[in-house]
Amino acid sequence: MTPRARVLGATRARVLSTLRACIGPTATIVTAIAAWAIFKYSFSVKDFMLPSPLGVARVFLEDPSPFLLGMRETAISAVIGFSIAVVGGVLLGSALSLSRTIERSVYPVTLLFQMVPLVAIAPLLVIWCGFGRPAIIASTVIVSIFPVIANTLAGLRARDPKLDELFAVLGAGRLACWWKLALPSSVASIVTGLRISAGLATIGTISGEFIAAEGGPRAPLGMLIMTSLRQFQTDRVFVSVALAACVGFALFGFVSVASRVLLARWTRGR
Amino acid sequence: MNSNTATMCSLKLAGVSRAFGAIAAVDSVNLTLDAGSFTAMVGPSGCGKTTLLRMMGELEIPSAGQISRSSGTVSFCFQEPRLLPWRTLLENVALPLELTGVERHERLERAARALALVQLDDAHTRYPHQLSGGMQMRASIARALVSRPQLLLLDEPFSGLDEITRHELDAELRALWERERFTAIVVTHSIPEAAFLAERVLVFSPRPARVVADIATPMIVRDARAWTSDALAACVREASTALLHAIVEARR
Repeated sequence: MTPRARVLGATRARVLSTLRACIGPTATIVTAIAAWAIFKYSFSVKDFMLPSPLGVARVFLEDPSPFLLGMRETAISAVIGFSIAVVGGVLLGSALSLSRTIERSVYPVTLLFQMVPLVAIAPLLVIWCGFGRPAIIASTVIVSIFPVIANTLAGLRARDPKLDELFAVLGAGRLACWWKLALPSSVASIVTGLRISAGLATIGTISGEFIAAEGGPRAPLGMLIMTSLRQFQTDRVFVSVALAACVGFALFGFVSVASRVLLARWTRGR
Repeated sequence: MNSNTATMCSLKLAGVSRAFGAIAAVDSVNLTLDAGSFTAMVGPSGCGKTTLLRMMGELEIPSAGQISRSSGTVSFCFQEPRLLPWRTLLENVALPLELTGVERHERLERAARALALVQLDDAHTRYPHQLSGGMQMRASIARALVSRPQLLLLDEPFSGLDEITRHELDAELRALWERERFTAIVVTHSIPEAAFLAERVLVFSPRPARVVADIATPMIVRDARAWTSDALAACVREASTALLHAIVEARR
């Protein structure tokens, strides 16, 4: 076999195995939709209680543009908020690792991000940031930053003290120790945090949009859900929820793939 | 002999002690080490010779006494290679230069030269886990040499390796010293290794470490690479025996 043929063969094998991995989830989704349709028609459930799968699809296909625009708005907020959570979480986690005293006094406070229900502070966000994107982004950050902080801190704590000593012998400054030693050694742990917080980010965005989004032609998915609910347009709620799930899934998928590529390089030989 | 010997690092210890809590690890050591010399420190395990070496490298602070050394770069070679697993060998070896702000192109060039010194020319782009323990240790020596130190401190550098690799690396270290003439201090458990490497051997007492014998080895094993294996073996044996006698005499 020529090397080229071998590479092609390997690619084909990978595609096939990916397809095979998709069979199960697809079957589950199809079964769920079928069960939904059967339930709907056999009990003649009213449309505002439970729309039919076909009805949901029709609402979307008749005029997809408000949904797609809303999806775009939501995705932008989610990505910006998640990025801020990543950078901020890594910086905060690193700051906490500077000393035990700082960690002991500040870490419990960062737990607040995790403990206080977002709906309780979301009105405050509106007071501080006004309606619109900034408040939504803030809500995304609050919901998704904690796993990044916690995993950064855990990674930094777990690094090899012998390498610290090496850097001390080489006369490295604090910044060099952080950038060239502490962060690279914590990559595996940080990436785990990123995966968790990628899943949370979209939840934070949609929740923020419930309270802080503005209506109009560029209303994000959270806003579409709220307005449709008020008008009992349950089918529109279903479309928006499905698209919100797509945003969350895309963000999570991107982070998973990116982290797998990164880890393949980083964790060689461990 | 190198002409710039005068500018090379020499080390002077005056009444140096170190205690960890109630336990005295090093007790009032006085020493003068000449520039360009190769000294071995031997003694029972846990006697405090590593602590002494770490004080010379400023990894520990003496509880009492003074260590003075003439200016110049100091490198420390640990018992384990301590390479960064996410960096290639070349980047690992370039690390000391990177941390002192040497420009990228120059530091990679110097790292490549250091790797050549330890026979790792063909391994620039490999990662530490792809190498044997001996190759990793070689790389760690290259990293210690890349900043052209005037003082090289080695803490049982080859103790984790098999005998054959260890001999190879000892010969290489010795040849490097012949060529570069840095001041070298090695802590070792092995008398043959001390006899093979060093021109001066300091024997330490059990804890707290004090110098009980200061022995000049007959410098017979010069340029070990050019020797036949029989001659070399005979030489090391002879030097080891002489050293062992001296140690026993000194401790009597």
